[in-house]
Amino acid sequence: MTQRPLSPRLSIYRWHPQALASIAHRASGLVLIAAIPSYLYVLNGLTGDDASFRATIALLQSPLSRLLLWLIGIALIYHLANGIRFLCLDTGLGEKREMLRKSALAMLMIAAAAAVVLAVVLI
Amino acid sequence: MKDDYLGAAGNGFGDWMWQRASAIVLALTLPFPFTLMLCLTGGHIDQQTLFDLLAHPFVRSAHSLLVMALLLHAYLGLKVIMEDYVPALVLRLPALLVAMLLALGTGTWALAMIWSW
Repeated sequence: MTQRPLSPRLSIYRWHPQALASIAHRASGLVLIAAIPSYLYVLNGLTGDDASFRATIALLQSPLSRLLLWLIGIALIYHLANGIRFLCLDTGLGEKREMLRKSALAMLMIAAAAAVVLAVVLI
Repeated sequence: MKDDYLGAAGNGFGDWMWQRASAIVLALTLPFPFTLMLCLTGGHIDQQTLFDLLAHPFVRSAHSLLVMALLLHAYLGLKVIMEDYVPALVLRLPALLVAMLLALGTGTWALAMIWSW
């Protein structure tokens, strides 16, 4: 069987904002999937007895947790913003090439801004 | 054929629609637990306040809806990614089956927890 290319061939296309926004949507989605069990674990600890609550708060406040919450927050805000962009595209809003490029850049800038704001909140 | 847009299996619209329906639910609900985690990390909420919030009937319902939309959205997203990067059906189908079982198990546990407080 001949080796046919997979559809999004990340290694051969020239990078442009639209492609980066699209692959970042998938990457942030995977990060958020990984965050689901962590959220439920923390929720379970927070709603246990008093000792369990205090231990879970201490866990949340550890440097590693703050780093993870920072990453999850960037992924969440990016995925949310770009998801709304995708929903707009589904309705036919902003489908012109130049608009696609600009909105993709705007989403990436939102993620950068979220990284700064969340860093301030979490430190 | 008038149903061409549904694809060869005739049901291609379902995943697309559920992915977007769950997206809307998540866009409206997911910011709340994230903000809650930020507040808890900041040490601003004691356990009684947390229970009062989580055990409110409306919050329990919204929380349940969030968990179901989240796991459905996660499964559908994972499926789309794997359809692009895992072309071998012999790998993809078992992986998606495992993902679906994990989602169902996680969802059952989460819903039981949400309604236990």
